[in-house]
Amino acid sequence: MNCRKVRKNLVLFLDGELPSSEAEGVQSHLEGCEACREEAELLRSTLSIALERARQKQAPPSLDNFASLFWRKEREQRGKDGLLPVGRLFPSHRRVRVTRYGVASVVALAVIGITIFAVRQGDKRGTPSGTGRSAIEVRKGAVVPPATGNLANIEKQLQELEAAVGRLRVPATSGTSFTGSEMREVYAAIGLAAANNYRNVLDMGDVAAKKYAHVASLFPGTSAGQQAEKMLSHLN
Amino acid sequence: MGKVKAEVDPDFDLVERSRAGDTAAFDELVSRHYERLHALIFRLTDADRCEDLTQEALVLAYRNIDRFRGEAKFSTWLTRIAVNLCRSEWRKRKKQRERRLDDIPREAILERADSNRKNAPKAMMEAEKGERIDHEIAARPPKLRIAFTLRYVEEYSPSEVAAILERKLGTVRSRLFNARQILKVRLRDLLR
Repeated sequence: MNCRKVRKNLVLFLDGELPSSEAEGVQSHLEGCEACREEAELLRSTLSIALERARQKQAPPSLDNFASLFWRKEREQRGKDGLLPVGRLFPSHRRVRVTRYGVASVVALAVIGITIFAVRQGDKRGTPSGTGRSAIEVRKGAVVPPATGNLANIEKQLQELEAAVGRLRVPATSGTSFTGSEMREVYAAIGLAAANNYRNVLDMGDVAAKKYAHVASLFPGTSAGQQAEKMLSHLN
Repeated sequence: MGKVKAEVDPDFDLVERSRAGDTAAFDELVSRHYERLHALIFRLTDADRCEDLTQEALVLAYRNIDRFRGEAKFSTWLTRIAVNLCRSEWRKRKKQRERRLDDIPREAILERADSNRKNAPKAMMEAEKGERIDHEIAARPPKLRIAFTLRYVEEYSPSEVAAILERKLGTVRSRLFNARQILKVRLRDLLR
C-alpha cells in the first residue's frame, strides 16, 4: 500500500472502521513509513485534545421542572403562530400548513379543483359540460362560482361545506388553531363533498363510490367518514 | 417500508400511545430524551438558549408526531429535529452578527483587529488554550462541525450519523475526514 492510499484511509483506520484486510495493509505501511506514522499521530492527538476539551465542558444542568415547562412552551407556541402542522392531504399527498382562517378557502379551492377536474373528465366522456369552466374566478381565497352550467351546483355544495367547517369552529378547544381531530373532520368533509359532487353533480357513481370508500377508510370515526360509509353501502 | 419496530426501538410503544393522544406517554418520552438532547444542543450552539431550543425541539416533535413514520428510531428522528434547529439558530446568529458589524464604524473594527494582533504572542494560559480549541471547533463549517460532534463527542456510529443527517454513509465519512484534517492543521501547534 502506498502513502497516498494510506493517508486516504487513515481516519477510518484510526476510528477502527477499516475492514481487517485493509487495516493490516495500513498497519504494516505505518511500521515502515515515518512520515505516515507522524501524520497518524497528529490526527490522533489533535482529536484527543479536542475531545478532552469538549468533555470538560458540561452543559448547565437542565431544570428540574422541564416536563411542565415543555407543556407550557407547547401551549405558548400554539397560541403564538396559530399554525398546526397537518399530515398528508389525500389524495395528492401534499403537505400543507393551514391556519384556522385559511381553512374555508382551502376547502373551497379543493372542491372547486376537484370539480373542475371532474367536469373535464365529464367532457371527455361526452356529458354536458356547461359553459362555466372559464368563468371560475378566485379572489383572495374567495370562490365565485359561475351562474350557469354544471358548475352552478358547486355553490350549494360549497355552502354545505362551509357550514360543516363553521360547525367545527364552534367547540374550539385549542385557542387559535384546530386540533388534530378537528383537522381530520375538515379533511373528511372535503373528501365527502368531493364524493358528493361526483355522485350528485356529475352523475359518476363509480368514481363517487371510490371516493366514499377512500374517505371512510382514511377517516374512520369522523362524522363525514361515517356518512361516507353509509353512502357507500347505499351505492352498493 | 421497513419500520423500526418495538424490538429495536425502545420508544416504539410510547410513540404509538402519544400518537393516539396520550400526553402521559409523551411526558415519558420527554423525560427519557431531555438530558441527551440538552447536552447535544449545548455542544452544537454553546447557547444560553439551549434550554429553550431543547424545549422547542420537543414541541416540534410532539406536534409532528403523526409525521413520524417509524422508518428510523424515534431518538434518531428527534436528534434530526434538534440538529435542524441548531442550524437555524446559527443562521439567525450569523444574520445578527452581520447586522451588528454594519452598525460599528469601520475604523473601530480596524482598531480592534490591530490590538488583537499586538496581543497575540502572549504566552498562552491553559484557559486560553481551551478557548482556542473551542474556537477552532466552532469555526469549522457547520456541516463538518455537526458530523464531528455527533460522531466523536456524542459517540454515534457513522451509520447512525448518516441516519440523523439523512445523508449517505460515504458523505458522512467524507465530512469526518475533512473535519479531522482541519482540526489537525489548526491544533497542531498546541501539541508542542
